[in-house]
Amino acid sequence: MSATDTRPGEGGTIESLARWLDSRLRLAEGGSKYLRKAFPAHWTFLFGEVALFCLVVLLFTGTFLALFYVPDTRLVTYDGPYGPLQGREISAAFDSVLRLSFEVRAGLLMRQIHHWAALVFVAAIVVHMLRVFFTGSFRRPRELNWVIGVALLLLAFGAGFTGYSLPDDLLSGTGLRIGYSALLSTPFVGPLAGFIGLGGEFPGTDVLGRLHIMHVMLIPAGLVGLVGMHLAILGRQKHTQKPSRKATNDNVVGEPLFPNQTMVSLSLFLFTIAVLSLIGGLFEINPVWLYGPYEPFEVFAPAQPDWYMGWLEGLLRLWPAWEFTILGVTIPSVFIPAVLVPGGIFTVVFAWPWIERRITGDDAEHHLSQRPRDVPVRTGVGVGGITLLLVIFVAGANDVIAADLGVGLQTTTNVLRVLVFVLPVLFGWMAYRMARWLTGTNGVETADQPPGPPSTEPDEADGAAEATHS
Amino acid sequence: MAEPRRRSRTDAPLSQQQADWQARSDRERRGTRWVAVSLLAAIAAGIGLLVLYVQGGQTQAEGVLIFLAFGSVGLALGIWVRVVIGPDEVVEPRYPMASTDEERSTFSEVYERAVDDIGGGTRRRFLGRLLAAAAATLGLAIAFPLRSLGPGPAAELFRTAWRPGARLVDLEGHPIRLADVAVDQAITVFPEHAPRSADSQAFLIGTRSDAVVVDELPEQTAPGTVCYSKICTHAGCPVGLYRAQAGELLCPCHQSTFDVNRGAAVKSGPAGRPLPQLPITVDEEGFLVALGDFAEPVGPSFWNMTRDVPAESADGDEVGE
Amino acid sequence: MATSDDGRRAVQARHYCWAAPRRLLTLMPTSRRRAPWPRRAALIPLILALAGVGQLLMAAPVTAQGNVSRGATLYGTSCALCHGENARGSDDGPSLIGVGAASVDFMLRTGRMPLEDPDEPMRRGPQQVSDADREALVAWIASLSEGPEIPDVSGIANADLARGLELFTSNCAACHGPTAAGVAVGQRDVSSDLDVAEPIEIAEAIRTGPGVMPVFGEELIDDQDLQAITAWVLDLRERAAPGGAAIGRSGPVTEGFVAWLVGFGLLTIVMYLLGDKATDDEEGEDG
Repeated sequence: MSATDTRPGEGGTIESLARWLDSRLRLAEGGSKYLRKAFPAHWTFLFGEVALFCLVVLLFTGTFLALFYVPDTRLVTYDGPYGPLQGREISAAFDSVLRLSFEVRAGLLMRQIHHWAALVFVAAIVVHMLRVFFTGSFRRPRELNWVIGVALLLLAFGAGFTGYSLPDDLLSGTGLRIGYSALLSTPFVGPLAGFIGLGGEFPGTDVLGRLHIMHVMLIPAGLVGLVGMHLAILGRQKHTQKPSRKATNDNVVGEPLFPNQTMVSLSLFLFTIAVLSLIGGLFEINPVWLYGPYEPFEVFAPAQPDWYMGWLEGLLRLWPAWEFTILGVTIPSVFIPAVLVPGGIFTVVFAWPWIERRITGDDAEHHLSQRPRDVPVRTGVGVGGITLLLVIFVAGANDVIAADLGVGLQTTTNVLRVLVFVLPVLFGWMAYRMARWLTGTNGVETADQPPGPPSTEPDEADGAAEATHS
Repeated sequence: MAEPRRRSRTDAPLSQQQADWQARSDRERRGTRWVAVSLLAAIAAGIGLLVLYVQGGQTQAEGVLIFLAFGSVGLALGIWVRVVIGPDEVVEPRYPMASTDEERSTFSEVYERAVDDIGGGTRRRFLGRLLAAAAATLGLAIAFPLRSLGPGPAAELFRTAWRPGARLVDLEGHPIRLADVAVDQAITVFPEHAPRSADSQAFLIGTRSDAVVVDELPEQTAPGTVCYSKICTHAGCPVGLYRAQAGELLCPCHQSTFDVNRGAAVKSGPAGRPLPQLPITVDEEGFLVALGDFAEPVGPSFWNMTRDVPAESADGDEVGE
Repeated sequence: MATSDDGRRAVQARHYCWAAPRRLLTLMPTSRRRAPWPRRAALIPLILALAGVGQLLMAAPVTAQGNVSRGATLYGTSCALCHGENARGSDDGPSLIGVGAASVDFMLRTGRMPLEDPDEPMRRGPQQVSDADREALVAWIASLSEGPEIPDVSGIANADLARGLELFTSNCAACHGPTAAGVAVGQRDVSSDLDVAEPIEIAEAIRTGPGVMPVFGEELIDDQDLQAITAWVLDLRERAAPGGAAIGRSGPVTEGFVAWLVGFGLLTIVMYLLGDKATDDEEGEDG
């Protein structure tokens, strides 16, 4: 059984290499099963893959950038090719970003691809997450992967924020200042955490070095580690699938891992690189040389964070000036919108699988994805939640919108303060009604057909089997 | 055992695929042609990229060529798998994720036996607790160096570099005479001895005559001027936007609006308290000077802001800088 | 391998070759039409000549006297209704004593004045009076009292751009934005998009603070700095985007749109084409 590598190699190098490996690692035994592993192939299952590929692009371009970036706030005199900053005292960090942009061949392209990849990365994560949410793919046994996924989203926020802050241009410093203020407002640990993080009072001298290590080491390590777990669990639990005549809760119907799924993924990976390079080359992003270096006493309007932080910015702009002192302790006005509310939102998101179980009492094992219309309450709640975040997100650009629409700035804010309550309820209710309406018409037609209304999909036999275990 | 299985695995799908290929030979031939064309395009784009790089590079052309190079290979693989190979389907059984009762009880048995080997009864429990305590202590000890990352906040958050007699200087470090402050002018000022200091930045504003309704520090303001901290009390952005006609300072980050003529009270927006006012006067040479530090902490409100200022600040040291 | 000098030249060359496509690709609102800078540059001598006339009026009593009296007449027919007799102001308009030549020139030149109705907001538009009438009005108001004179922008071609960028960021960007695109700065106020302003108008606005804008006097920004800021604003318009399409240069807002619509949009098309598209009612796998 083990002497196969002594046979004369009749194949090419690949085959002899495979033989060599197998005789040391015993791969053929399990590998044969894996080559034909079934992958449900619906196109919406590829969102997560795009996120993964963006991460790969980020790691590669980021490594290139890290070879040039200098995380140092010490001042140097700029003498590079960019005229309007020549002779200006700027931080070594900003200087290195300018050098990377103007003097390193392909450096600007790498910087832009990296930034665009970050924006698309979070977009892909969010859409992937919405797919999982609305199809109920987070239900038992996949709660763990839901939690890991949400943690990945948080890490992506962290990676984005630290990266946004590194160039030490005027925009990045403004974002950092707001983050620091939110930290200072946190009860008990706030001021200490702020000082420890920055190595002293704002702006501090150590902050760029700290952010840099977080951005290039700690957070990527966390991302890669959690992605590994995410994939390992996926491999163990296998994909969910859309119910059909063939696909049931007790099987997996899909394309084989090799060659089909491998080639699809590889193709998508290459397309991800291609598209990110295209926008990286054709669209200017974060032209820091126009913003100038960060000075703590300078600022500009409009100052927005990258899109995925827009909802936090919007919360800060919408929240009323509530600052109170209880028992001699001040609760700063930023604390609730910048710390408490986002914390609450993410707690709900993390806990959603358990919240839903509490409501439905459904603890059975599910491997079939649901149609959103078949679960009207969840769909309504989801649409309402998204609407809420979208309104808040829009509020993050209230000054730009006010200028573009010709509406007053305070009027815009006040209208959004109303919409933030009205629209989520309205859209959530509409989604709920629409789901009910769709199943109402569809339920009659499909009642006799094998796919059936998937709301009745929890498999009784399976549930019974589960019951014996627990 | 491995041998027959491998043979059966490779043979069956191959013949299936070959049957498929014959049935769709036309499609396959067309697909193959396009795969080849795409790969050739990728080679061309790759060579172009090389040439471009050697020639000195150009960001837009680089982006487009990488797009063409990678996109072409992606396209080739896509056509290959979707047109040439075509759809394929595997059905696998799926079993409940949980182990069976039998497996679980076997595991428990093995585990219990192993635990018994460690030691029995009270001795084990005692040692186990001691081990946990040791781990916790070590964990704490390991976490402690975190504290080395920076000093704890003492008086810095409560004080700035302003002190009695400090001249107001502009960004370039020039001291400012009262006569220099025009109506509707807003000048970013710093203490003379701490130019460009982040927490001491203040806005010196030339007010319109008789516009000031409420003066927080009536005896401590040079005529026709007011001076406020330039750091927003909300999230700490510089309140850099002066709406002269309305006498309002607006923070560009979250639009907190402060009424310059009413002690920088919050008119609208999310800030929770007014901008602290700097007491100023005019010295014998006509220059503006500070009478002391701000009465309250500048910048965003922070946790425990209302407690007493830490003792270190009482000796008048410049803890702020 | 090229030397670093070659690299720098390449960078500069890149600036210019990309300028035209940038404008094609830009997502800027269409209202941002404007004459190319070179063409407007030709106007500078003319503008300067006209502006110079205003200043010369003081020095040349004969001409000035004629202009001043004509200005007084014009004032009586077009302005006095709101700004009052002898420019002392009325309920409908502020006094013009002390506003100076620069302010009047700015208001007339940018079409903000005269207003049909005093309750209307002042908006930028084409100049509504003739150049000669404008000069006469400027001369008359300037003769009433002292105030900021029409600044000299003849040196902007040689102004220090680095200084301009620095001063622009510390004094102007808070309201006008880093790229001078304008943004809402209050309930009814939007800071001007400086893409359309003439150099002389920029300089006059800095000195006089029209509308809610604060004043920046000579003590804070001397004449050389004034020209540096003006030069930087003009440079911003034509500064090529080495990174590609400038997409409105309004920062992360438009960047977010491009990331979603172009980046994620293109990838969604790819995913759709690569993946299985079975709908709920049909079987996907055996097609």
